Amino acid sequence: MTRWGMAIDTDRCTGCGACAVACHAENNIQTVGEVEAARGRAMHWMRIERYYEGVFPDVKVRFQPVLCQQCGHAPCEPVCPVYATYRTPEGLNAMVYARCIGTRYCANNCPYTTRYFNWFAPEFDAPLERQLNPSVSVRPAGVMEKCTFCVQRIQDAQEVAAQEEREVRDGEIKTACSQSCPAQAITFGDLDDPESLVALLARTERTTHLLEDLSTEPSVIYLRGGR
Amino acid sequence: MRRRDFVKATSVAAGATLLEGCGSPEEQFIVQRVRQTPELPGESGWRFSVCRQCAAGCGIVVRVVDGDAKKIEGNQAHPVNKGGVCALGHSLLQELYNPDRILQAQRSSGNRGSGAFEAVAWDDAIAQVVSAIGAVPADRIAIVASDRSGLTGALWRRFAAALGAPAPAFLEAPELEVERRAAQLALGTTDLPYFDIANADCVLSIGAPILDPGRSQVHFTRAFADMRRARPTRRGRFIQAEARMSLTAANADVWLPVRPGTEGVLARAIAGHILASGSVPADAARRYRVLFPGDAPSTADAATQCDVPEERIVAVAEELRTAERGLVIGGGSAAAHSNGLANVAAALGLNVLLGNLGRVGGVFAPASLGLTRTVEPSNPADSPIAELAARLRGESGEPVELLIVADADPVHALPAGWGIREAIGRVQTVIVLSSFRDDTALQANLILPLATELERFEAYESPTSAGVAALGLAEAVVEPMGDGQHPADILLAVARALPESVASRFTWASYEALVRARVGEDLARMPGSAGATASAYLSAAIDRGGIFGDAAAMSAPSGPTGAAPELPGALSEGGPEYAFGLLPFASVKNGDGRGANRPWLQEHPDPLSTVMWGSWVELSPADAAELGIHDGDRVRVESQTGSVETHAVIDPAVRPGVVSMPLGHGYADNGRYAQGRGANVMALVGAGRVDGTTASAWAATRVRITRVGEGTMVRFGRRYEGGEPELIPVGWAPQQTSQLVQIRGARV
Repeated sequence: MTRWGMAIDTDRCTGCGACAVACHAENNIQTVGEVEAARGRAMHWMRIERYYEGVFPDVKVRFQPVLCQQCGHAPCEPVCPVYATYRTPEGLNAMVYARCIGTRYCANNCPYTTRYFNWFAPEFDAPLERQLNPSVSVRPAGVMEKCTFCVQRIQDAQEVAAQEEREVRDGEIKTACSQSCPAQAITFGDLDDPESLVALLARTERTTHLLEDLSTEPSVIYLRGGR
Repeated sequence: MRRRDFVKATSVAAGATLLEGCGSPEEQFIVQRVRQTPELPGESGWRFSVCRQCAAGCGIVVRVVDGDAKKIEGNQAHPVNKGGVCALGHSLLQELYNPDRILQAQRSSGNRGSGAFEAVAWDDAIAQVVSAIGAVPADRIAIVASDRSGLTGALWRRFAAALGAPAPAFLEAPELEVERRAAQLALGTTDLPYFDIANADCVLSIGAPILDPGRSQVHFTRAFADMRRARPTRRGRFIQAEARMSLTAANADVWLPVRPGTEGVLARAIAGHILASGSVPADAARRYRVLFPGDAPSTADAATQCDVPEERIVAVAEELRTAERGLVIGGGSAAAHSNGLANVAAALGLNVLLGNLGRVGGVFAPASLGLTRTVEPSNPADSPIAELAARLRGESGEPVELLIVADADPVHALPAGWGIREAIGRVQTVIVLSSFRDDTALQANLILPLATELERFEAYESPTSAGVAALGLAEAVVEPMGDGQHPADILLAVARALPESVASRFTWASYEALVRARVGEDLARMPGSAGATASAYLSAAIDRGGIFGDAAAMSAPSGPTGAAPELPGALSEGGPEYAFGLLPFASVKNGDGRGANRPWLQEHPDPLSTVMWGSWVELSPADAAELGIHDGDRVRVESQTGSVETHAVIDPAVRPGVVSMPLGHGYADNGRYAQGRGANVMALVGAGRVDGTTASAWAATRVRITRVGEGTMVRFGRRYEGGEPELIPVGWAPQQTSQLVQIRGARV
């Protein structure tokens, strides 16, 4: 079986945020503007969290890219009254936008706060809409959205592999964030393939999960820094 | 069965029926061969291009669907970025499709500076430039351009020389002039050297903001990450000595928050410690004394001056001395004090003591393909931008009657203390090559728009940041949105229409023709050109995104060439009533201002302050408490030169007595996303210069801060409240969770 997962090396990550902008470009994520952003409605499927520890001059900064953890036991799934969010056989926590009726229960229940709600219909000042990715639907008002692990890229690679009558190769699929990362901090692949790079990284002693105590079984692995 | 499989299965059946008798229909008809024919409607093609959003010049590939650019990714073969792209690079698409982009030439239709423009036909605009040049004496022309080290810059030098006008001035990050001069003194290189960070074991950066935007963020981020994690047996360490908690300092293993302007003292004291240890070979010590003949300050003196505990200075010196591959870089705000040249020379000179010149994990000489050689005058000398400012103010040199500004925004970027904003209004004719109504374009009589790099033939040689020569080469990937062209093509069009004495020196039909001709002429010197014809070589180069040099050709810099200025104390502008040192910086949000008109970047939180959609000033909790300022308040920041209002960010990582503000905000226009948003920090910066250079000492201004009232600041993160630094939310504690993992017996 395939189980898509991601490893993020926090010792490589510098917090530059290129991943977050790459995600906007790839996934047609709208910007909401100053007023709505001030109300906490900015949408960043991928965000950089910054933490300070200590006081000047012995203050340390840590950055952590946070996206949907694609949980094995996802708290967002059982609370959806219309089954708009579900677990795919390949381990993705998927959203069916057309089913979503906007109760926002899922966002309420997500301990990682990685779900974003479309309060308004998306607007792209012409001709900015010419940039929109035709492989990704633009979400309408009233619908929840979040990181998909760039499912369109997964499907593309699977189609190519199927045409060439082979399996998808490790490293063939790169999510937009992983492709962009100047530090190569983000590795995407199949956690169930013991030979894959992501599975290899998942077995190192630097491995951690976000809020592991909640037993959500995230598919995103963080590699601890050395600082 | 998935819907897709169902459709495929039924169409196979249908195709087999339809094409019965046509051989094997699955091969010819059914199997989708879309990847090989990306020109089909709705299908993707990927094309190489060169990012020109900052001076680094990364190689990019652009996804094009139905003629529209959709996504930018990195060219893995390009030695500068090796496949990575930064936030600003992605946002190039929002320059291309920006709703406020200027697509046709514009002529001022009201008072200059009022923002009233009317469209003018392209050919008329070129004719207007030609007649403007003819109407003034050549020595009253001034040119400001970008791409100092590249072919476009060389063309501007040639253009000025052909006209008999003063040499062009180039707008770049001001500290680069200081860093180049320091590298010449300390290392003997004519340009910025290359620092092999990826292979070093211990890197001390004295002020150099390598992980921040502006230098070559993608290249150095990759090098930094590889230094830490690409080698299985060693993890390199990074030490940042800088007054501000920059993105670079935030990622360092050790941060030394030195008092601003004392960076050189730190470097000299470390040198003294290393020399005293007796581990430096006599030859290296002798070469170092060429640079600094005098005695170094003691670590105790340095501790007092730099306001860093002595034991930490000694620890850093020891770590550097004992590292197998130690490396020291310098620049950034350390270069932007009055004593900046001495600061950076002191930093770079440490490499001589560490013996790393030309060694893996050390310092290398800059590399270039030398294509500008026959394009520019044989003895190219640029006008310093400070000299041009003095001309504009009417203080020295010939007065300026015609100002040509190409792909630069000096009114926004230069210190207010230089008086450009006022002086430019007195220039008779101002012609600006720009795609947006930035602060300089607003002052123009005539605006000629530019094509983005995606709409034009592009050739750009990265200045030294990759260690090897790298010329990005690309054809246009999308049809142009408007009339805009490459600045070099506009220059060539104007030159051709000028009198024969000028026109005869610009015989190339286009920038592309110039690049092809130059590569052809120097073919034998191009990497990997053996046995190839010029056209085949160029085609192959364009197919992979450029011409890239060979790492085997990297060479050692020669070493110190002369004595550096001894370390004077840093001078600052502003008396005791100005209590704070001001450190401007480039955030990944807007960069130097280029990103200000793009919604992706405006809504992108700054990594440290987490501010979106606006500017801010960073204050330490102690200073804020004394001034009665709360996080998010509106504050007035005043210097001797100017005054701006912005929001306060109270940040536990700010050194008391120092405040910082990001560049690239506070535009009068520049499009709907940038207009009137935030404040321009350069409005505060005074006229001071770095001793021994013409560069602005932009870190030498002192300011005072007063509370104006409550404000509404847009932040992505949470506010800093109370006396405790913002700490981890709900349970994220990596070390504890890691212990859990281990207790459970390597569950993952």
